[in-house]
Amino acid sequence: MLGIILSTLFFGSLSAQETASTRLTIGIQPMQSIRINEGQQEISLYMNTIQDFTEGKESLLTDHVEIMSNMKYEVRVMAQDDLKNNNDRIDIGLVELTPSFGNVGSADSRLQFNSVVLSQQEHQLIISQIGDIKRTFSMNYRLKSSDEWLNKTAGSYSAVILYTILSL
Amino acid sequence: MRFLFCLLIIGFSLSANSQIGSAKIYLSLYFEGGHGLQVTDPSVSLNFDRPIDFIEGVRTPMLSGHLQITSKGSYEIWIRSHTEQLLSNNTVTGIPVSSIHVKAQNSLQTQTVSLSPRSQLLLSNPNKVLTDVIDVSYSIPADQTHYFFNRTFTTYQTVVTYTLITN
Repeated sequence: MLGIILSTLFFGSLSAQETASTRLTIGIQPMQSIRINEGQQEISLYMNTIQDFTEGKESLLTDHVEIMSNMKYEVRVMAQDDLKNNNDRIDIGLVELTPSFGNVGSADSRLQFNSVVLSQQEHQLIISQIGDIKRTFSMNYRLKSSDEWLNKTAGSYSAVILYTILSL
Repeated sequence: MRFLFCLLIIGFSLSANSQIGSAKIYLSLYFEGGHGLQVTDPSVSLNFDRPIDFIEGVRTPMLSGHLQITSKGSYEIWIRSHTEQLLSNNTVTGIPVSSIHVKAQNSLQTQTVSLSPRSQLLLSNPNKVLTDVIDVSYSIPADQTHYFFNRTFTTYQTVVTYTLITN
């Protein structure tokens, strides 16, 4: 029998290190949203006085429209039809909208506002050269004075107004 | 994970001449305490798919066992990104990697760091452990989403490297 221990080896170290990696990818999709202030889904303007008929009537709705866009955008507006009360009509062109900055989002010169006289065709109301995570716009609704208000059946005239957000 | 086995056949004897023989062998096995680090998810995605993602930020779920550690003793995990900015088509984008936060937790602690090309200590475990797992979540907090606004709709990347240091 021959058995001899020839050698002994020792493996070890005080510290050691090893690395491993992962690839992190962030994806961005184009997205936009627009909504009307829930408390302002229906707007009422009353023509009650002589002054209303001679000078018109207006109502400023604060934070009326809220948008989100992660790119440059524009907001367009149109009316679905004239103001109607059964078979009586009043030209929707008597309604003028004027946008302004709301309380969400600071004033910025890269946004441009246009007053729009409503029609059944889209008009550019707001143009923004920047995206906004969240921004509101106030809207002034103005009923212009006109002879057309006269000799109309008393009652409620209504129309649906559509706001659309588009990328530039 | 690396293990090193050292097999040493120390010696043997044989009686070649006798008919009734015997043989003995001494076998010594030396085992080096292995250490190793494995990332179980080779790629991780964070996506801005909804408007609210820009308001509230985005995060991955806690990736269970994202890091698998083998250690013969205590360990530290360090983290760094390969770049200072996120890349898109191998081009710098101006988006700092610090906009990405990494939350890690092992059995002892939870720690969150902002990504950086400088190595940062992410977690440690002073106890002797043979194996350990670290759960990891990647996020872009709400106050960092503005970096991803007004951007080209594409993907932005960096490589995150973890380093295991054992003692």
